[in-house]
Amino acid sequence: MRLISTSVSVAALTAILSSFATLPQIAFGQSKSVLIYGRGGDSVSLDPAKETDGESLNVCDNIFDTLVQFKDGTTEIEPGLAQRWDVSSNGLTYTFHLRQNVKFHDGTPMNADAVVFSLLRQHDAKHEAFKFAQMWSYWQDMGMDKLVAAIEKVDDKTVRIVLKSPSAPFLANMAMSFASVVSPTAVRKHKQEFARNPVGTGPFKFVSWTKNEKVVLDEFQEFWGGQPKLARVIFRSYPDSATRLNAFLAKEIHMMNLPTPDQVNVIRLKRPEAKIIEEPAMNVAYLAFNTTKGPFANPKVRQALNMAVNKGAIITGVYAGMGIPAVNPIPPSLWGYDTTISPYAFNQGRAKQLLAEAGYPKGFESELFYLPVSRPYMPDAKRVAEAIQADFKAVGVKVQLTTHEWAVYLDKTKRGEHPMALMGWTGDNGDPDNFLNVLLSGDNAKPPASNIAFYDNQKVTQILRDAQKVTVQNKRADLYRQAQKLIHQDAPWIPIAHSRVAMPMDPKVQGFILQPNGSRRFFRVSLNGK
Amino acid sequence: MFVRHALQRFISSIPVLLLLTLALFGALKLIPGDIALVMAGERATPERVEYIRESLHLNDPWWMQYGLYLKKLIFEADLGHSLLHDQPILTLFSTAVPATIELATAALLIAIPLGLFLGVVSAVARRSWWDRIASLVALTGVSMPIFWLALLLMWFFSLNLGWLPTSGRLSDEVLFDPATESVFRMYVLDGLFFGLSGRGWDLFFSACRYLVLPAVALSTIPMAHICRMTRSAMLDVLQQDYIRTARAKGLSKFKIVLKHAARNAALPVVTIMFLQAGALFGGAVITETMFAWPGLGKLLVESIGSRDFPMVQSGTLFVGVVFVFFNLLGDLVVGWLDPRIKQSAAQGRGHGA
Repeated sequence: MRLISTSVSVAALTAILSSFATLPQIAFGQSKSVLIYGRGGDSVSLDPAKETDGESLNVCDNIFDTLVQFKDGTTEIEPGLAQRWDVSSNGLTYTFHLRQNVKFHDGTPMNADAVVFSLLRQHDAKHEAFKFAQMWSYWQDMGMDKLVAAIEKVDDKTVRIVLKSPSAPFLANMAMSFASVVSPTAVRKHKQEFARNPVGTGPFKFVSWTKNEKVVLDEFQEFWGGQPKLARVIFRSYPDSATRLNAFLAKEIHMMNLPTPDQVNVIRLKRPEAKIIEEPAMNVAYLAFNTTKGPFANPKVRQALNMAVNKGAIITGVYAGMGIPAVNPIPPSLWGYDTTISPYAFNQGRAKQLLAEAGYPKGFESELFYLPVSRPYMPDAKRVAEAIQADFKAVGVKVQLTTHEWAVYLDKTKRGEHPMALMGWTGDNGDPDNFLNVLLSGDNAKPPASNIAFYDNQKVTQILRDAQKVTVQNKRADLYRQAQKLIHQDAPWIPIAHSRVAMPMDPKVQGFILQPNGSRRFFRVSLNGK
Repeated sequence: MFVRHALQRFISSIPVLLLLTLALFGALKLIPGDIALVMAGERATPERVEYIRESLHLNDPWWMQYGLYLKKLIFEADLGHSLLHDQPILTLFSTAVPATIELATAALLIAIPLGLFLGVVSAVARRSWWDRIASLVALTGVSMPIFWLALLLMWFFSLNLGWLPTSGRLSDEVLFDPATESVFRMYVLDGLFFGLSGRGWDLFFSACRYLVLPAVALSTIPMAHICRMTRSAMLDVLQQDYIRTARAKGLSKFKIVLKHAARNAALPVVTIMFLQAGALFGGAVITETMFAWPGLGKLLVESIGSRDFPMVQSGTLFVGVVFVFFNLLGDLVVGWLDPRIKQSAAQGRGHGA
């Protein structure tokens, strides 16, 4: 008798508890849905001009708009808050014609004053809002402080930006989050605290933010681009990826950001109905030869070593398949990527032969620096270095592995103390200039250098300079293809990999695409079409 | 007499705290490389590095930096400014600390009664099956890594049974904005307040449900410590002559244990309880990270990861202060329970009694 009543009460308890348990499927408003996005960390702040980290900008990109924007899923530029724009023939003056009747979430109108305010607060130390940030990071990182001469209102619906020198990548910079248009009224009201009370023109408006817990955004029904399909988006933070995985498996979140390759396999097994989309990230991992040092000054040696490395094995072994072998210094998602270049095929016999031709029939000894930290483009640099060490040994090049503290590592490589070093880069604005010019132009090969191969081919440098001045994208793409061909021949790097990003999601989630720049846009996303 | 003792103990903990500030300051100075460059990372522009150097006063000699730090800390109660969040550190603490207190209190509410109970039972029924089970529970408690236990709990209670949420602090179904609606910054208390003031019990139930797993995970280690300490203290006392006398007098076992033995065994147990409390209230890094609990531990880990050095410094100092405070509190309670201890301490004879 007693046994029966116990089991009955256990059953009752189970029923009561599990009735509490089902979390998603929240009916919100009438027919629209709430999407819960699980991510690896909290936002730092929600002022798009202040921050450089993905978790901040991913939220901001749904609250704010820019004058021009990246077309969904590409790095191409399309109209945003500016309906159209003209560039003067000398490439110095950009005139933006603003979209009409656009409102901020606080009801104030978006106009030329607001645009000028948003940009000038980052540029002009005398501007009333300049002091509201410790540092306008991206404005400086992208060199806008040195490039821009003036930001002016022409009339209520026209803004003019004058540059000091022609720079085609400027337009791509204007599509980056830092160039978002913010509500001047809200900035004046909240001052520094605007970063925690953001007001923009985007498809979602800010509702609340509980530090290290969640950010809540609601649809903005007066969005100029149409009505969002979701009523609410919640960004929840799960700093431990195993917890994030559990939350996804328990159906507490609809999407899981940044799963490890092993976790993707677990999801395929345990929640087979889940959708998993993958996309190469806008980054590159590479080995830079110090082209000013010893045997590496000889292009034949560099080509030979390019043939010696089995990139496929590195992708399978170290990236666990979450990457693609790199051929060029820019990732294939960028416009201007040269698809005609055939990679140096893995051929250690041919590599030995080339080394002999270059005067090293018995090989030589050298040193390879590897990163002390895990980066998105290279999850485990030590293991990459060990794989390369083994491959080089097979062609007679004995390599010693070295590393330093991260700050010291950056410092030493910028100064060129390395014979060879592993490094990588994550793109900012989807412009090839942001990879090729930063990493391989002779203009950036003086210490402290961002071109840590110290590669200085006058022809390439000139092409990269020209490509900054031309404003027609097709012509620029041609120039970048020429540069990639020359770089491929000279082989200042071994391009190793572009890592891949996976996004597992609930089968109900529709209309989500991974953006090459890592942004997460929820405007077109719905749950089962709702 | 007691007040004087308390005051003395309080004053004697000040040098400890000062030493702690110096040690923390020194440790940050020992980080290899230029701190400003470390903080700025791959994209460091000279302007950025110089800005960080200026804002951290890295261009001044170290003793001036330390002096300035102490002056602000003591006279202005200024814990500094987080570089990462661009917010006063005190503001960040004001939300993280209550979350930690909530979790730590819940964990202690599990750990103390359970630890005491298991300890007493295993001492009284020494070498019985009860004792063995209690020992096993205690041993598992101390030796099981929390991150593993956390995953196990989630796997069992959330994924298999579906009874409890995996992690977090509140269901998204509960419409509650802590920034504007929270009174205590502790959701269980807020929920209780909401419920009692007629605004519904959703918040309370949801907050409790989310609290269960992290509190259980966090309670295991203190529970085990308390259990082991209680057991050995009780065993010690139970062998004393007066217990035998009590037994000979014909008192019930229950009365002997609770009235005569427990009181005398309480001292070491109270000490260990306060030590454990000190450790919990300083923020539980692993538990908070695993259960996505927005407390102090999580804040600290984040600041270490993003090289927010002012935050690391103040956060660690806070943890140290909490620990010293609970230690002091423990000492005082022990002194109050057993007056012999504070007397001997006052006479400088240590634990002579």
